[in-house]
Amino acid sequence: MNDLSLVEAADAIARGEVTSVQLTQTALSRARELGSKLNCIARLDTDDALRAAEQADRERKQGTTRGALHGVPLAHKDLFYRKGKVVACGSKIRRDFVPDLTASVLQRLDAAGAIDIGSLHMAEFAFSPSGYNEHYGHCRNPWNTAHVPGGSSSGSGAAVAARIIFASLGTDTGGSLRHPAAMCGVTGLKPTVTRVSRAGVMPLSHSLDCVGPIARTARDCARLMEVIAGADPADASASAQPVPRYEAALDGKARELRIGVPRTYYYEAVAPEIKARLDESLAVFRTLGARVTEVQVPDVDLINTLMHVLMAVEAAAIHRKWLATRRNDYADQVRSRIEPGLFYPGTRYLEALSMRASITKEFVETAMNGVDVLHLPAIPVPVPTIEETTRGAPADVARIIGVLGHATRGINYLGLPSICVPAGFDPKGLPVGFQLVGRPFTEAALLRAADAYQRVTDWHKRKPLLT
Amino acid sequence: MESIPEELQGVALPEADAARALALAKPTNQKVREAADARLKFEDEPARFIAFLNGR
Repeated sequence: MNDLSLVEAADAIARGEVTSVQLTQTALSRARELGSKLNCIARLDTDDALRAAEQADRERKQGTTRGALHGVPLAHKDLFYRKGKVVACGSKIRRDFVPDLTASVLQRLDAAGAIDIGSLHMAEFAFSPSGYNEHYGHCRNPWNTAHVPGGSSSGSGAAVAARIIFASLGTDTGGSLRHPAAMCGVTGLKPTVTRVSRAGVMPLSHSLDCVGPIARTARDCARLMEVIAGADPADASASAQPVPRYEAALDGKARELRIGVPRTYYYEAVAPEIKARLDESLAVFRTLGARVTEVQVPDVDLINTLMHVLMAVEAAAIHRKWLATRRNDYADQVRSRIEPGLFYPGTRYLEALSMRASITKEFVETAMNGVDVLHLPAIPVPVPTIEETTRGAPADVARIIGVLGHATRGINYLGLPSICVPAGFDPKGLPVGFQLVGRPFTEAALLRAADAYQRVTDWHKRKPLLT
Repeated sequence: MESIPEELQGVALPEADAARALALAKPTNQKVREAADARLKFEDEPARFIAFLNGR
């Protein structure tokens, strides 16, 4: 049962082939069985989940369906507020934080019939591309528990890959949906900034944060996006652009697709074993009739620098009081990433914000000239071990942490949508993924391309051997 | 060095932390300033980004 995709599970419930209680019990059982091995669970709401599942089954028997996720068990990164539940955000500082509201996206999932079984582990305050968490221990990669799962939505990637739950919401400020998706061999969509409401979500950076799904397939992500995307009275920044019918747009076709491959910058740090998988994925798109051309990209180092200024300043503003009063309750690795934000003048910050339109326009007009999507590595190196990202000389640790975000963090400054898709494995058996990056609000095109790829490949169906 | 005086931030960092953060911030400040000098026009402002995303 747990091998079903989210869409298959929802359809099976709708047809009466399986009950919500059966799926929820299986999810809870796997969460208890594998949760400690992978350290991917923050909180389990067993009684509430089973009560909701029983109600979902009663409603279905009476011919009522709440929506596209009726009865499907999910769990989400532990920074989405749920009224009355502890939401620790992976931190010591918010260990006992109980919000008095529920995040808009969770309300939308509830309304669509999803069953929330609890919350998933994450990097402290969403601050690590590896999933590093000093307070609650490191989440582990289901493909090899000596390796990192990617972060900061580490529990989301691990729990979906381990078939504990069918899908999960996470957030992405510099790659935090795409890193765990790539490293755990699942599919993750970072939407256009503002596409999905952030009301009731612990912020890292107001300008960069995006909420999005991690699931096994592009189709699963499409179904979730139809539920969570769109304007929200509780989030003035959420876009009023109409929400397309993402799932209906999945027709398996990539014949008209024009793919741009920027060989400079993005591929410069790519390890040979990763490049081999990326080239194979391009070959698959060619067999589907897509046209692949090389493109030039503007100065990505500058884009990364401007992204860093926005993230550091906004995070420093959010954390300023705690930095003063609870300094020692942050992990060094996290605090040292926030503190530079205290040393950028307001003029630099406003300049970084003010250049965003012209730089994004230049990027789209240059790198995406004549193409529909860019094909980029997700992580340019093999998935590192936990030891490689926590021990050794600080410079070595900083280098490997920096490399993980090489191809992701600039995309957040540009605000563009990006989907991360499984593309095979490295020689050690750890997953490899690629990103497709689109123009603003072209999530439907990204999902369509990823779905076409997944119809002729089976990397997304592979599952880790967890005993 | 374009650092913000400590008293304006209200965050008393230990000397070593402040030195590390400043060392990280200094080249970044320089790079952003140079980019702004070269690229930024008076009419550029943050809201233009959202307008661009929305195709306006």
